Amino acid sequence: MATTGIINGTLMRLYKDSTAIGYATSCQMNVSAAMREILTKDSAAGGWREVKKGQLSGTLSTEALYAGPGDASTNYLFDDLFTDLVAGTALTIKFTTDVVGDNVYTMSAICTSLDLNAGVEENVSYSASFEVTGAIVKTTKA
Amino acid sequence: MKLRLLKEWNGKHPGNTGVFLSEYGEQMIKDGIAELLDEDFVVEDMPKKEEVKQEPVYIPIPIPAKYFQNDEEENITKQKK
Repeated sequence: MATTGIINGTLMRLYKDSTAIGYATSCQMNVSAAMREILTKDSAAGGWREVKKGQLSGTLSTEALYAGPGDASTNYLFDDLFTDLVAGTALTIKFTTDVVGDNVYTMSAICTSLDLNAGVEENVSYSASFEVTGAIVKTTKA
Repeated sequence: MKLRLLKEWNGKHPGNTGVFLSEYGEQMIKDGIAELLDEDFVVEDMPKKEEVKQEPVYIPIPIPAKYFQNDEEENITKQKK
């Protein structure tokens, strides 16, 4: 049964294929439509800008705590993303709560940046950014 | 769902645990690659920072007895004068 009311953000997370991106503290998906200007001398808009939808695009980003090779986890971690970024691998990413009836956003994305932060007496953390290539498909988890 | 690997999977060693989408996780269980730890588990236990709460410090301050005198009574007395 689909989640009722406002969804708790903790439950919605990014999965590479079907494996969670580990120790995430936040995840974002951005979808945007570029606008193309269609104002011409023949337009009746009186000099006001007129636009129509152009290219659609999407980006993903996540912030997470860092765990190295010693971590006994099967989750997708910084080192996996590092390998993907260097190789330019397109990853199949799902953004979902994994609850039946809730939405699943599925897309192919390439990791474009990784920022690893290590402050004194702080958790080592990182942020990762992804550029979506192709369409973002919205389905309902059956 | 949270699973524990029973066999090596994608270079990860048996005994390692992780969070998987339920459909995929169920297939891993069927294939004998992993065992179920928690079906509804979504988020890992994050390392939490220990908060140190300081105990309040009470410092006795000497207060003159006059302080405890009822102000209203004092005003009435003054008006009568």
